[in-house]
Amino acid sequence: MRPLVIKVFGFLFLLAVIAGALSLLPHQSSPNDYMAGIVQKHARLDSIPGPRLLLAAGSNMAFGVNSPRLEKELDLPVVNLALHAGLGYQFIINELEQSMDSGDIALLSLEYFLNDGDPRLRQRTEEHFPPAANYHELSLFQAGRLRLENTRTQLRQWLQGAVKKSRPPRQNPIYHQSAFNAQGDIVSFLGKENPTLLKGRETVFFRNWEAIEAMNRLAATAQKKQVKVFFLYPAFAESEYAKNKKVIAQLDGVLKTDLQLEIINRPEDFVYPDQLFFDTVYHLNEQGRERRTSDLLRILRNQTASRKALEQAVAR
Amino acid sequence: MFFNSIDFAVFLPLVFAAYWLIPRQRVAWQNAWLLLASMVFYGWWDWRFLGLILLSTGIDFVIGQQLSVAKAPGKRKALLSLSLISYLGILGFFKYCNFFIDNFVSAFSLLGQELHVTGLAIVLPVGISFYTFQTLSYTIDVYRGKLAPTRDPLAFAAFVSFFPQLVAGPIERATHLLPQFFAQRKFEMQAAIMGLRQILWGLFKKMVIADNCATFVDPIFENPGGHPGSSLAIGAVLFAFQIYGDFSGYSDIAIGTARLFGFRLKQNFAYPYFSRDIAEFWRRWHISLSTWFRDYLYIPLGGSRGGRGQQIRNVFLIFLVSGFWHGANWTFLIWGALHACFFLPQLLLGSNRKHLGVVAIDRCWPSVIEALQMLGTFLLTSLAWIFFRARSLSEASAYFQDLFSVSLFASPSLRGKHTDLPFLGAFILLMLLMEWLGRSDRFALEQLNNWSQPVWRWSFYVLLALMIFIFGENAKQFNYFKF
Repeated sequence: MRPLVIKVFGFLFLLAVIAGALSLLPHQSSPNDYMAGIVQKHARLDSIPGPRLLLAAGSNMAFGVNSPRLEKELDLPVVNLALHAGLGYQFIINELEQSMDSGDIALLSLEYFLNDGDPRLRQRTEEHFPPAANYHELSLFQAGRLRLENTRTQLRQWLQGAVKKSRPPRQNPIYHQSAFNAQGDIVSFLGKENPTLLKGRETVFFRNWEAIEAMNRLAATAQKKQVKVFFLYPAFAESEYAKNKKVIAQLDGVLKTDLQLEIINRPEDFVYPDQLFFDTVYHLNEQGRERRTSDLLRILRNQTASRKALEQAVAR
Repeated sequence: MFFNSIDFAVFLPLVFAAYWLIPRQRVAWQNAWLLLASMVFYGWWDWRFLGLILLSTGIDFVIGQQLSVAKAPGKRKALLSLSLISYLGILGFFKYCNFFIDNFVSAFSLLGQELHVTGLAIVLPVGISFYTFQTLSYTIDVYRGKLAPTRDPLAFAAFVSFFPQLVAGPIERATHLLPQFFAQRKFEMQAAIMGLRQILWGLFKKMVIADNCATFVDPIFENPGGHPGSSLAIGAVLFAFQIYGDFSGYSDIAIGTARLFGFRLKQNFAYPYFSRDIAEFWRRWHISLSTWFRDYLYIPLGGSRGGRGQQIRNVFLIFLVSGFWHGANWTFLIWGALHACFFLPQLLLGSNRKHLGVVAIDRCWPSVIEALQMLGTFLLTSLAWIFFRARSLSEASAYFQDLFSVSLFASPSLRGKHTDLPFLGAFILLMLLMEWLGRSDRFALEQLNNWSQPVWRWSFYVLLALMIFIFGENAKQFNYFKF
């Protein structure tokens, strides 16, 4: 058997050497990367003294809200931190926890599928905004895996790019660094026609959200820092909601019992017809965005807890 | 545990090393080790279902023993029936229960009666259709006197749960695989190298071909209405390659893994997309299942003997059962019925055994006629795959409507996740080329033995491994796990 072991190890060694050599190729960060949007959001966050209205979420909130209108109607500066659900709930919650200051009001709106997220996205975000390292943890194993993943991605892009050399690189017209307005909302899609395909149609599975534990930790910090954090259900397309209604109701039940953050809306409050969505079942289009903003304003004003918090914040 | 996961990459060398450290005279120890490894392999997914495998093993072992002493035909039939009822009962409960409940409720609502019955929350145990069919073959063969029942429960349990082919086949016959558990296994360098080569080829087909095809196919099937007919046509073709890469890739990895342990499993795919007609396709696609149905259902029903009516009935029955085996959905039944319709004219015209050999065996390339025959067969199977892939009949019908519309001539709009279409096309061509060159062999890379220069062979291995590394999608479940 020894010759086989030698051959296999020889082969693996050869592969490791080649992969290692290839990983030394110069790293190209993608030009005008969407994840770099975090830089601008934090610059705004740092430039505005409290109290502020902070929006923390996956992209459902990046798309689905008109922050300048919120600012105007609530008389409170808004910082929309929402970027990408792929960052994972831990990242989103930690980012909010470390960004909020005394007197702030925060709305946390996690997508239904939200899980640990994709470490590659987190690393990409960290490349643009090094403090993001504090929002997530990477084990040695994950770091090694990411290194390999990056090499893979790099090589894939390099090979495919080499073939397409003659054509200029395409920039995604929606997802890019300059897609955001001053408050942090994505505005690159405004005035554009809905793509034909509504993506993100995935069955929502009920599982014990570890996110509840993380949100409860956030609630404790918020109390210490004197910040009001409210939980909001995300915007969701009607057809998908109908399909996943049972699971969402189950989740709602668990959140009502276990979550220490106040929930200020019902899942169906932000369920809109499919035609009000842009490219995924979480991303509202221009018309949907306005409707949700109106609904959000109504909820914030009607809910006793949020109304009081807003009054206090404005009075400060 | 998936074959294409890090877990398996750690598991396999450990099991392999410990296995060959056991003295080869200690066959029972080797079997015990394989059994333990198989339990870990299966339990990695959900340990609670180990009980089901052990129950299946226990039932058939005891029934086999009883069959060996029972002489009266009535008692033997009763024992066989008990085995069939147990297995089909288990399979029926886990796989088909909700299908029947749903259809029962729908039938009542058609009659104006609303029944408020909800389906049961049943988890389908991975590979249940595969291992139940494998154990059934044991009981039937013992009943028919083709096989002496084993008295060794350990070897029998290791045979039933043999991890390389436990969850997605090939569905082995007890007459072929079980005796190998009693024979001394000797480590053979050449067999191990062949095994590794087949594993590498299987990983390429799964991770590079199937999983990349899936990134194009999934969004298309999710929303056929959002794509022009031209994209739907490409989607159907890509799905044909996806399902082939996925399932034949799994079989290659399973067969290669078994070879590392000194076992020979049967060939499950013999280059089906090089078939010149549907009958040939079914001799080359999922061979272990087709021959299972042939031997245990089709032939006992009379096969192609008897009158026209009986022939037609048998063909439809076999294809419908085969479709239903794949899943509890009308889409699979229609898929089976379509294949029956494709196959029947050949049977009735007596041309179903026209193409028994390998295409263009003595030539490098096929003739124009052969190429057209292969293309025609491929297109027919690709159309039928649309039913196989669609989640419901209405989805499939929407797909067909949009496929055969004016937009079939529009410019396609396709986007994969990581890999561009020209690259995927190049990978598919590479797979087809290698399979074409190796079409007389048991798997495509067997021909590498003929490459006289080891440096070329090694370069090819490295090229495949790098393609898997760079373009392989991360551990995705094999499609056939669902069946």
